[in-house]
Amino acid sequence: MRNKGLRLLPAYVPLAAWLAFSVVLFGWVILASLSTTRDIFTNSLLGSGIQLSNYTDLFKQQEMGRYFLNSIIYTVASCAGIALVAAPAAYILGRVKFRGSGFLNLLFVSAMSIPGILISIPLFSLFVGLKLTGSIATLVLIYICTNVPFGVFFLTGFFSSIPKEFEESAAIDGCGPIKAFVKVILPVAQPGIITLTIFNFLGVWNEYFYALIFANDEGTRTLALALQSIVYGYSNTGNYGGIFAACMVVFLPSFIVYLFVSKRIIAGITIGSVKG
Amino acid sequence: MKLKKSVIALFLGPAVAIYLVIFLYPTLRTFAMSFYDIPSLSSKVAEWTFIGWDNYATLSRSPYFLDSVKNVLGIWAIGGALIFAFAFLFAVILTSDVRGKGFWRSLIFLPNTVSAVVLSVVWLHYVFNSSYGLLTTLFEKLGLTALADIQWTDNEHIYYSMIIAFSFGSIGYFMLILNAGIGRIPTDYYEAATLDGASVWTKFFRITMPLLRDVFRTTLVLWTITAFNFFVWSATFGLDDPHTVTPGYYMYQKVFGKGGSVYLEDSFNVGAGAGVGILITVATIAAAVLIGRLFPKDRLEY
Repeated sequence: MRNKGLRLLPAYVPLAAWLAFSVVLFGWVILASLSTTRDIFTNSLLGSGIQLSNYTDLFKQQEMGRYFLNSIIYTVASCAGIALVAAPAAYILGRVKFRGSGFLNLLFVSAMSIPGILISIPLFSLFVGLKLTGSIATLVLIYICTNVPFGVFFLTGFFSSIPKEFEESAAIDGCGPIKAFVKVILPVAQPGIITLTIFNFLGVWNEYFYALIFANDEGTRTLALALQSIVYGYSNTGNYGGIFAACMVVFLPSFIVYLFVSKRIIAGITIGSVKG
Repeated sequence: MKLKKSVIALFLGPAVAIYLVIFLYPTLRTFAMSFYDIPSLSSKVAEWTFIGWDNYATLSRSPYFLDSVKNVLGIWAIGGALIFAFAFLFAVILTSDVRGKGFWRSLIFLPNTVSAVVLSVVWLHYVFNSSYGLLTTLFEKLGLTALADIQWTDNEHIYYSMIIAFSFGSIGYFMLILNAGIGRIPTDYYEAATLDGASVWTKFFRITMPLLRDVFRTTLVLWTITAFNFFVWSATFGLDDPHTVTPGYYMYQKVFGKGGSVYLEDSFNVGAGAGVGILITVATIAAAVLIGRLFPKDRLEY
């Protein structure tokens, strides 16, 4: 045993280095977010005590609360919308045999590799033409639409693995196809939908490109975009404690979610990726 | 299982409509736009003027665009080398007998779940800061004054600093895919090789790499798609610095830019912006085909 441990020692060196770097990064930013700018520049973090005002100022003076709420609305509404559109489509593609189902599968897979940069110009003029810009709903709609292909692709596998006896027994009980889907299939497919929603939560919470194009004004801005403009302002006025506090406000929600669901995320990536 | 046509249409309808309106129509329209002179983003088709390949000719003469192409190829090569080196290293380590694999996987994937804006700010204002930053402090303590004096975010270094910071946030994803691929290789091969006295390196290059060809090809294509569409970090880390501009960001500047940047002289041009989108897509497809040729599908079963 001892021999084996010694042999594995070189394997632990890169892991330990990564851990040390992560801890230093994370630890330093937390301490800096509670320090004054002078403490940061003199390398004596927390030297003047804990500065909670770095955080409270963000909410009092920079309206961070409003952007926080915006991002929560974007994330919750988009995640719900994606599941609502993708689940029924994936159910059909995963379980029902009909002409053209292979072709439709291919369409959704190909849509996943269409970059935002390619479609953003017509999307913008389309939304301007429909007078759909400048509200929270705009970006929600964009997030739902652009994430549906991945949602369909991801859930199709889950639905196809459910035994067909579930619908048969539902049919015997007198359920129509829609009732059978909602009452019988959806509960069984719940783990897949939850994993998809976790992916979507992180994706939407951290999204940048579409937010920059479709929601970059005072009322509709996302938390990430607000962070960028706050950092720009603070680095001009020299409020470095505030910069790191703002980072923590954006980072913590996704980190807390990740703490609870990292196993699911990793399993989801691993399953979906092996045979590409 | 069979269902009535009306039920199929009801369940599939919204997703198919989204595909047509949000993916197919804009793709075709962008393609068309790249051959027209278009006065503004909201111009109607009647206001467009057909100019053939002129937009592409304009791009091929624009020094800003050519620099952005050079930048993105560098990101693909340097960032790719960094990401794959670390991803392979950790993927191999996490298929050995180390303890706490679940924890290590979560830890290495963690940066992938952090907003690019947060990561950029932390790297710019902490790691790369020249007065209290992590690198400066570390090198000073080690007495390496030459390294401690590097200005990581000046004109000369910001491009490479951006690639390093970006790669840190991307390693985890590729590590997970490679790790899963290596995990599927039967362990008897390694056991037999160990009995024959093969070293870690021999096992990696003679067993892992050949048997991982399919997975490697997939990850390489994924990386190419990511790299060619590189956009976010030019905005969040580069902050308009021309040294970090990629074609994707150039297109954004050209079409959506609010002015006040170095591109003022290289004016607003929707048609040329659409051309950039088409070029990125064509380049991505060409690269994917080329990668497929270089690493043909393996018939090997194991």
